[in-house]
Amino acid sequence: MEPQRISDELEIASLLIRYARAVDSRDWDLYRSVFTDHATIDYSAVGVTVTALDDVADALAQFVAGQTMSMHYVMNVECEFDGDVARVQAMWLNAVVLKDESNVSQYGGRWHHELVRTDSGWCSRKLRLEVVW
Amino acid sequence: VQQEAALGGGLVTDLNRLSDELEIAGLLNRYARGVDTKDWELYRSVFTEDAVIDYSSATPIVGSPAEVADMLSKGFAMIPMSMHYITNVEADIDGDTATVRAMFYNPMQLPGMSELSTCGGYYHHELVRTPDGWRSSSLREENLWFVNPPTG
Repeated sequence: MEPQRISDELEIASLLIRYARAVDSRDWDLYRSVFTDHATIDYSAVGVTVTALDDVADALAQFVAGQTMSMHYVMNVECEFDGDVARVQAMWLNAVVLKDESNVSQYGGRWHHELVRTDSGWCSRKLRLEVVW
Repeated sequence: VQQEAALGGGLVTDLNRLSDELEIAGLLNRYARGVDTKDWELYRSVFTEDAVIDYSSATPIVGSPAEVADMLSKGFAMIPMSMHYITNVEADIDGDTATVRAMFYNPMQLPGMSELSTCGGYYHHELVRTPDGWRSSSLREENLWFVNPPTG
């Protein structure tokens, strides 16, 4: 593995962890920083119908307002590189407490990202959420 | 070569180590994807042809990659969903061999069960470096816990 590839793999893992932190801390500026301005985000798996970044950030803020806690564990990150583009699949496990409930629910699935290398590092231009359980 | 000379021996060794660690983590992720997507070609690509796979801690399955892939393809045909989360990967690398231990967390929908089942434990791999990258010559699954196990 070339040094560049090592660096890319580690930066991409960090990007996914930053995404998880943004959602779990409800930090929507941080959330936007994961994506390119014109990114397409497909959360249809959880009923979100908008796909433009700003609209999605608003919809996601509403979605997680129904939760008092979430933790997205990021695992099994797999990258396939094609020049300055990377197709990335990662597995997530989310422990959630819904408002007015005391017990923890768990969900799991995958993220399917298309990333591009930009001047400020790797950013996602396409994300599709897959919910498996 | 010039770049390596400029970097110095220590850093090159460190880079090789980083590369091995990432490739090994990648191999374990490929294993999980092979099982979870029921892609048995992908599953077999994780192993050397003469590898020994031992799932005896939770199942009766022991054998070569070809034998085990055949048994899993029949067994998993009835399992609508499994996700093998891999974490805590520890690689003890010695030249062209490596002893690897990793934790798995495995939620799954088993046939005839109304609720999800989940199990967890360790994978113990012996890896060898081949011209095509790291491959497992031995896998022993050590299942340590099972929530909502199959009955009968």
